Amino acid sequence: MSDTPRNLVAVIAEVLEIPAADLADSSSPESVSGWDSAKSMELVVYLEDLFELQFSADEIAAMSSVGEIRKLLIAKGLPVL
Amino acid sequence: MSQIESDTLSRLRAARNRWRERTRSASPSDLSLGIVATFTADALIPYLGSELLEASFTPSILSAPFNQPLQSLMLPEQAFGGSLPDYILFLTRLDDFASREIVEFLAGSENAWSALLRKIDEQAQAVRGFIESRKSTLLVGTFPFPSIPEADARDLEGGINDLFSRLARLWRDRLAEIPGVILIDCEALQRDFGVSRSLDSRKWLLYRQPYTEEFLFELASQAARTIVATRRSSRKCAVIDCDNTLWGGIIGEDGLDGIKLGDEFPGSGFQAFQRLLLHWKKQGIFLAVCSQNNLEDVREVFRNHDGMILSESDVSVWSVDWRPKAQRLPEIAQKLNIGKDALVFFDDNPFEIAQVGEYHPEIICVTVPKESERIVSVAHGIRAFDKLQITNDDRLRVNRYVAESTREELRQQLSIEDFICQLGLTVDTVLVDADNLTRVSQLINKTNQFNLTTPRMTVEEVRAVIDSPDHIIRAATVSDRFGEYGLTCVGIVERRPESWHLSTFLMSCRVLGRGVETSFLADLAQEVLAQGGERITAEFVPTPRNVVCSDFLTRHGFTCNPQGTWQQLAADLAQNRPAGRNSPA
Repeated sequence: MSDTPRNLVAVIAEVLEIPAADLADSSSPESVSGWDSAKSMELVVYLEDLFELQFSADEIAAMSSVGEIRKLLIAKGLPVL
Repeated sequence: MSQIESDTLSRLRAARNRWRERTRSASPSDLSLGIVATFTADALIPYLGSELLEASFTPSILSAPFNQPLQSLMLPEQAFGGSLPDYILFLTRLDDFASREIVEFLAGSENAWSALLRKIDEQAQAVRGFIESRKSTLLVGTFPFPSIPEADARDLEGGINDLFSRLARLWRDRLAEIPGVILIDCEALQRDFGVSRSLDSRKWLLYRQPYTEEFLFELASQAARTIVATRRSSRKCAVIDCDNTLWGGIIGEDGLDGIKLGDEFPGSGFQAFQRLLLHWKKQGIFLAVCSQNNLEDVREVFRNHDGMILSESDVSVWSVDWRPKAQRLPEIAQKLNIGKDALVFFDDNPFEIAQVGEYHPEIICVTVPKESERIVSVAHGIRAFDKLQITNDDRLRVNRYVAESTREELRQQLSIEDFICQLGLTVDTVLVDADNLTRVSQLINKTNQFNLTTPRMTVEEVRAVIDSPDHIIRAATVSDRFGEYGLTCVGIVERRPESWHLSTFLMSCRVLGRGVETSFLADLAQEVLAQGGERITAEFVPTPRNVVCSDFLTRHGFTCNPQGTWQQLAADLAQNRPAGRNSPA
């Protein structure tokens, strides 16, 4: 894992296969079409792989929006923008 | 993180990335697969996809809506957005559909057992209904070990273990009663992988997806290999180097007493590999020795070394000289009358491996590791000689081998005409329908030798032919007084403006030399007559493998007109039918 900060919106956009410009901090599975539970699961796998860690079920359950995901990652000391 | 863990993670990441790229490309798919599962199975798709891409397919994969597996099997078109995929993978887990009954059984409830039987029957009924009414190839998973809060495999009383064995057996038996089901042995896969390592409780509780990414990959890879095996012929020969492969050291330098082979390490590792090779040989895999050595030195080891497991008679082809192996492998294939794509090559020398891989990409090359304790697990890992677990036809096979040796004895006593006559051969031409569709498409895709035009067709394409008013498609089952050969011939005739054209005609080689093809052609001609046809046209499309049917047309009175079209009167063909019938035509 490199220490270069990762742009979280770009990462999520990559997994959801939508333009990064369509995502804001408030974006959530409820507001973004195509962000279903399968995509949420894919995103968890992607982030765990990227940052070489395992989230607890509590942490995964708290990933309710782009902003919440960022808050969680920063709280874990991970380099995200 | 250990090296092995990080290698696994990067392999999984590479697989997911490969699939993500595929989903972005617009190239049309050549294989469609639908997943029906009692749990959320979306996470399986990237791994299935990348494994199929690896095998040079361009798949499209969908999963049925969550939580209605049986409805999805009953109405698959609806579950998969209007069209039926070529393959359906049905994965089912006891904990998803019978959790309550299992808990009740373990608590001693009297009614729980019959409730469990009913639930399993319900699943079997759905599988049967699918097989009988739909033409996709159906792959069905055996039960993995159930994970329920009330029971643990390590419980002292062990009730769950006993119950699981019985239910797993029951499900296999139910499936075995339904012809044409292809098994995916989830139970064995999970046993090899480890039950607790296979489960991810976070994903289960959050998403109803029970498995770890690593196990999903194993499961996908097994399913993909099975799908590939339905489309391609299997490997038939292990080509083995000698020095540092069959034994440790170099016979030409170390001598008979110097090479390492025996009960003690490292010789025991080579012995273990020889045991695996002998096992393969007993399963019908040819063994060929391919070594750069003096033939006499190698033979000497086979004959006189106490540590040898293999004997000279286990080896079908000896290729021992000093020429490059890349040059010799095609000769080995030719001697055995099999394709190069049926070879698996084992060698410890990376240079030989690279060279063979370069010239013959269709050959599977396996680098034998330096550490003799790893050879067997590497050899197991390639899974090159896996056979499909398919219900029905395979069970005949064991008897067939026994019958074959009795037939051989008769053949040695009689002239060939008398032999055919004495065999009491019967050829029954049958319609192609849901019951035999799996076997028919297998034959179409796997028959290389007695195959007039060598077409390859998906199950979907075969189904289209069945439904077409301008095509006649028939298959034939063959038996004689020693036993049954099963379904061995397929023929398709298509209506053309001036004639009926024999577009497909093929036959399994196990009934070659008995006049079966003549009888089957007669029945096809009879069908053409019934449709009002007079003439049958045909062509022979030569391939490197189908020389055996090069005289088929002339042998059956076809003549070539000045335009280069081969033709013969249907009435003449229909008259020549040497074999008997079991059932009325």
